[in-house]
Amino acid sequence: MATKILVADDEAHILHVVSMKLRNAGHEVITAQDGEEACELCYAEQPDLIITDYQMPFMTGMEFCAEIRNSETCKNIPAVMLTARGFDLDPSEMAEAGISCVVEKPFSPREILAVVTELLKNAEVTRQAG
Amino acid sequence: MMEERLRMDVGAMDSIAPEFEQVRDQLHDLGLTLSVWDHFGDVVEGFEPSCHLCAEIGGLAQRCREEARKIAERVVFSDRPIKGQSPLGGCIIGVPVYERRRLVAAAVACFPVAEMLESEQLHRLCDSSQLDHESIVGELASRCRYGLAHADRLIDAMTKMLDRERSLRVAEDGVHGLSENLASTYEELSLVYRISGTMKLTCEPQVFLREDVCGELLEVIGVQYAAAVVYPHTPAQGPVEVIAAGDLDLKAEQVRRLAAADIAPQFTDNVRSLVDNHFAGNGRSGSHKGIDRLVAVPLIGDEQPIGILLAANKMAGEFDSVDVKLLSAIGNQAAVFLTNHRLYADLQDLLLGVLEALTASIDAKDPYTCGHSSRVAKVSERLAIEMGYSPERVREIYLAGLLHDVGKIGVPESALCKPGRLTEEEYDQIKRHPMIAARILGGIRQLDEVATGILTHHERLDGRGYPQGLSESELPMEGRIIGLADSFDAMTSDRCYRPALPLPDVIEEIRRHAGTQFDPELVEKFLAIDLGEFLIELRSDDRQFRPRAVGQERQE
Repeated sequence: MATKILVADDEAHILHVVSMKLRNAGHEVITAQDGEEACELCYAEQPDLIITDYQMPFMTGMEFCAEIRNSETCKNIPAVMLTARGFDLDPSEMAEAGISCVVEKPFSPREILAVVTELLKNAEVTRQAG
Repeated sequence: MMEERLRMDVGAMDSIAPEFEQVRDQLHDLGLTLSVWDHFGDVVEGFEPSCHLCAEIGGLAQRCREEARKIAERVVFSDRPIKGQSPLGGCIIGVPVYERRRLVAAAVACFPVAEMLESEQLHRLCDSSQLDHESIVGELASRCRYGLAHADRLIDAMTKMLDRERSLRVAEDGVHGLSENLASTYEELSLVYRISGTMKLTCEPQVFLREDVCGELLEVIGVQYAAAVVYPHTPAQGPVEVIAAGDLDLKAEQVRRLAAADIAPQFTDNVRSLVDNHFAGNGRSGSHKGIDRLVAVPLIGDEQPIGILLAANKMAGEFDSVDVKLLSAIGNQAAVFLTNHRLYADLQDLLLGVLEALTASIDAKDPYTCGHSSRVAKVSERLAIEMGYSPERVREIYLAGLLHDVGKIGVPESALCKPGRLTEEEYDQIKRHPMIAARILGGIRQLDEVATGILTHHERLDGRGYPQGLSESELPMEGRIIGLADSFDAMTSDRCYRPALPLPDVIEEIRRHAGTQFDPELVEKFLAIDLGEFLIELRSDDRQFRPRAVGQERQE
């Protein structure tokens, strides 16, 4: 079954590069350009994994992830954060928002794909165990 | 909150204004006039209503504007397209405009419709303004391309135009962002390539760090200041070195303190970078005035910190992980270079040390020749510098000077140290030492050039030298230089068969043999040196067994 990945970033070029890499690897990709849109899409589409930028209009990636954890259906979706400011992130805030992994910019598309593959594998194991 | 929102909308309006221009032109071709209203009900500058019909015919510009504003308000309020009627009975349509999914404006257009020609409003207007209804209708008829029934389709068209222009702009912004990103990625890549290309061991670390590392960082990251702080290789090598580029007025001592107090303590085995975008405000002692934002990485060579690379005050805002990664990459390259350079320098020192020990042990066979080889090396080096040779050639001549008597190891001591007159046979034995040296060193590829200088250091311009009796044209400069240096040191030193000559006599002797024994150009350059001073310098660096105050002794 194809996995559905939500990619949220307000920078179109990052959205393009990440989506292209994931689509080429056989994933279904949906995209959002701000935190609010990401939230709405997440509720509506129930993706298997979220990749989100930190700095976005209306709602940061952190706020977006924290927000969806309130929903029963979205609370366990693994999330990856892309950021150029990893050094500024608060680990407890990240844990609360359910961010499994931080990828610092500039990243290579292969690096993202490797992270995604690993997280999806872990999620699958957890699901089967549960 | 309100203010923030307002600011955002003003910004949004600036970025979408070009879209409205496109849409206005397209609507104009369709016979519609466009006005744009922000969500406070104010008309957007440059997009005021300009309905000529209402203005020209009825002097109704004000009422027309008012109707357009009302439509805009209703669009904003209801967040959907709205239809209405103009004062002359024409049609007004309004559609919402979005930016990043937020309603930011209403686009309003009006157009004359066939129905207005017979409308109540027009009759009433003509009556009250005493206009001829028939001639007005005649004038209007040609301009009425649509009926009221077209309004929905025109709303649809207008929405599509706005959508299309917006997606076009978003796509253009995307391409622009991608291009900028690519451009800066290329810059970073090419810097890394360039730095690997310029990492030559023969390049001086200071030059490499200043020009190829710090200088390039100024350009590529776009910072006001960049510096490399390099710890000494051994404590004996003096203070921490600071190599900087940029236009921040910081003294080396300030940078040293900054590195030692504020940067180095932050690094651990796991923390290999420091980013501080509020450096000035973080309670510093004030000794680093001018640094507001800072990024730094340690230079690690052989698992030991050997320095710090730092950049300060990014022109375009704050430092982020992109800058950190680039600085780390450059820092790693610089550390590799520094480490290799140190290893290379160590090897050179080792080679020189071994050769010095070897030659000192030969000199030690005869108490009168103590320190001779090392002095000949220094005089030869000085001559080579005076001749303007490359550092590489100067070094080879120094080594040749140092090793010039290594062949004496194969000459019996009875001949070497004989105080009285030598027999012909003894003299022949001594004359073999350049040949012996050339044979000893002949197997060492790196010393080929050095061996040439040694082999020829007893040759003379007039061809009466030994061992080969070379003519002037065959005699290499290396041999000429070492020959002169050797004679100079021999004359200024005591020998078993005579005491040292006074300096004026030595000078006289050298001058007298210029052109026969010595190269005249060399002699000229040599005698231009303050030899009294040079002699003192030579003897004071003498790490020898019999230190003595030269010069004075000669005068006695």
